Amino acid sequence: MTAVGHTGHSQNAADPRADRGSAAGGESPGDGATRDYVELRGVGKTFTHGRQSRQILDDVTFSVREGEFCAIVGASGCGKSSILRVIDGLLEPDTGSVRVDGQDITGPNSQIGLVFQQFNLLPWKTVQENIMFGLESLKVSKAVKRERCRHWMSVVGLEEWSGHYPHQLSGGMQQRVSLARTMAREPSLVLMDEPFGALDALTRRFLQQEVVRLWQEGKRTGILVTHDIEEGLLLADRIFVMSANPGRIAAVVDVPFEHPRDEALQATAEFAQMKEHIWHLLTAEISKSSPYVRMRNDPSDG
Amino acid sequence: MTRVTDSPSRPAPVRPPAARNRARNRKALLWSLRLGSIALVLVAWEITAASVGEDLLPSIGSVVSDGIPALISEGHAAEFGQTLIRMLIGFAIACAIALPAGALMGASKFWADILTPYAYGIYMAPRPALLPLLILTFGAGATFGIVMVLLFAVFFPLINTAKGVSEVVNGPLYEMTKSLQVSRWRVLFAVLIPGSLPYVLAGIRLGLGMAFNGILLAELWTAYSTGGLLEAMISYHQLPEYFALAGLIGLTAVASYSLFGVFERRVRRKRGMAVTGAFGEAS
Amino acid sequence: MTTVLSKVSAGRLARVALAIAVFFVAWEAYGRTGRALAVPPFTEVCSELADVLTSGDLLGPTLGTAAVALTGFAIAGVLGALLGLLIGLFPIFRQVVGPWVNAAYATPMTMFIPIIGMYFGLGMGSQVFLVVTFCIFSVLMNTAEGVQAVPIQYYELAKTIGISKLAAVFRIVIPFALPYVFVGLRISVASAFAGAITAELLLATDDLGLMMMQASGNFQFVKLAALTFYVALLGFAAVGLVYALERWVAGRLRAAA
Repeated sequence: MTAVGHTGHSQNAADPRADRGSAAGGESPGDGATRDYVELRGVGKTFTHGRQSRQILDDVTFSVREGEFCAIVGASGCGKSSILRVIDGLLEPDTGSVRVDGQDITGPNSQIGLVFQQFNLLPWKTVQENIMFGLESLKVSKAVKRERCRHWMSVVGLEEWSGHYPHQLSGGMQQRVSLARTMAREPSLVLMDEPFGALDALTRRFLQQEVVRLWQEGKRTGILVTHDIEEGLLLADRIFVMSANPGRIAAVVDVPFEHPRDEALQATAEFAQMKEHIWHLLTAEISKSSPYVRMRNDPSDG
Repeated sequence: MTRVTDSPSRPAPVRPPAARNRARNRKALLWSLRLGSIALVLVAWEITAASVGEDLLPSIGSVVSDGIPALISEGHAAEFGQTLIRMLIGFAIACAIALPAGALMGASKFWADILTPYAYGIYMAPRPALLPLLILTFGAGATFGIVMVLLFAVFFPLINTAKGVSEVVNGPLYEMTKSLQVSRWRVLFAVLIPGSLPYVLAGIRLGLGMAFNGILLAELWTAYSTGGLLEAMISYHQLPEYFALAGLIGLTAVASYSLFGVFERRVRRKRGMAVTGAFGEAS
Repeated sequence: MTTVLSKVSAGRLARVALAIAVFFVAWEAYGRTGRALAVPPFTEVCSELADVLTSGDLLGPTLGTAAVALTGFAIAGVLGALLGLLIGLFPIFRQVVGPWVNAAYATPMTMFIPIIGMYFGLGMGSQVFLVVTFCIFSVLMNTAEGVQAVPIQYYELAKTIGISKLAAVFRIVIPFALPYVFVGLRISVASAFAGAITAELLLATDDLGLMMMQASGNFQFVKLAALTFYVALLGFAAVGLVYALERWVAGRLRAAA
């Protein structure tokens, strides 16, 4: 499997099922019907804290096609959350450009939605009030807002809980409310920042399936950030492997599996190989950035 | 696709009969201990009163029969009402200063740096030392009391509001509102104020307690109104009246403190915040 | 224990220093207008204070006031910490005694000043008693909070190690709760000086309180302002001393560990 890496280090042996080699940045090959919806070029960001400064992102360049669901996979703290915030207009990059739907990003807009890891529901508002609160900034009629609220509450299966307060709900339910709140705004681009990180494995699995189902029903563009390689393989069409210190896109991997991707798929050898492959890409980067850390399956070991 | 409905975090606990009985017994024990302690205090009072004599400690009976009617007939309660009004005026001014200033401190590191020395300066300095000085500027009447209340009561609402606002502004909720493009005014009313409410209530509760101390200190120093009454009662050995008045003052203070405590607990419970036990103070 | 200063950037420190400086400048400016008798210019107050200090008149009264404040502080500290420990450790105790403590905290102790004078006479005894009522609650409540903040895992650890409950209190609970106790002590010592001055003004005029009243009576307003400023400085110095004490204790604990 050839991984076209942006850092240009040595490629692994080609796999018989050669991927279509999606370029990390620039025009999408062949498929002229789908354009690049999200484009990042040379994005860099440095945080200064007092007298110390840390470069979070360095020359991040990639594109996501319209209707695509991509995952950014990397270790914690490598800046993947910062990328999402740059796209959502919450963080201004020091260098480079961000464009969504051909427009430069200057601040948050209603076409882009962000689902946070920590739910971020207002604790003093009910489920319904929280979703309505999310719709406030939209310029649609009250009736439309109420309908969307009702619709999305039923999509995530929480109609009976509409009058409850967040602390009365489990973590999974709260994240579903958060998801509904974001989706009710009907954004064309949905960003998700490790949305299931705070949940237990069973709830996580269930919600992952929910996300896949939502994407089957309505074509939106999505970018998911996660440290869980399996999650990326289960949900995404393409995976961007990120390195840390500073954050960079190290590799782009196409995920060739068909939906629905279920437990049966997870048991196949191909799945395991892909997972291994991405794991190697990740650990190679980690070893590079910190010479004292050697991961067990480091290819440079004997 | 089968939908799994995960259950809420806090289902109603259904305990077996044995556990329920144990819980009931514990509650009964607790309340009997509490009532017992009240009874203990009353009994100890009576015994002490009996042994040291009416001149030093009036019996509960005489406090009730002599002191309490005097509250009405001699106008002591009415006088305390006047004091209370002055205290509330001073407290209102204190809050009018403390709440916006605290919000500013919480929202902006710059203002936090600037105002914190003043806040802690007022708190740590021995404020009663200002009594002789302030009387020169404000005279010995109502204004003096209001100023003392202001000095005493401003700290807790200030610091607690700052803490509450800081938590909201520096927390994840704030970023979420930006992502949802909520207008800044809406953020103030729909997020900042409800978010900092538990802390603001705590600050008001603690500040009110200090306000009582402030007004009484001022009035004792100038022998004015209620303070003057208290001193006169001791001078003239009118002990039942003294205890009746002190009891009224104490009850009012404890009642307002508890009332705000109840508010605060309700507000916290609604938000799923920890409702601390005996001492929910922000120090 | 790292100092606060090492973590704060120079910019923030400068802002704090600037804010304090503005206070003194404003004081000076307002004082010069001569509009308030009670507010002489800062420089005048300083020179007056210097005069009083060098004259030696302040030594006795300072020691007297400090004695009252620190005695009350010590008693309140010990009693408050002990009670706080009990309340923190034993739920039944907390739920029975707790409401009484809350009620006592809520009642304005100032209203008892006249009767404290009657009961304890007009000497150091009543003064110390008043100081204790002023400053016991901070210590008590903060200690209780600290003890209750000990995570359950620490107790479980103690059980697995097999140390007795009493030993657990000394070797786990107390060190953990100590920072909270010191927060309470810092507030408490400032209240102690407030209480001492209150006692010396309203109860048994003595020492610094007496000096202030005399200055007031003799229309020596600058001297009064100087003495008031001096008392404020004493309060701050006391808080600083508790800070130093805390670092010393922490150092000893670390050495013993």
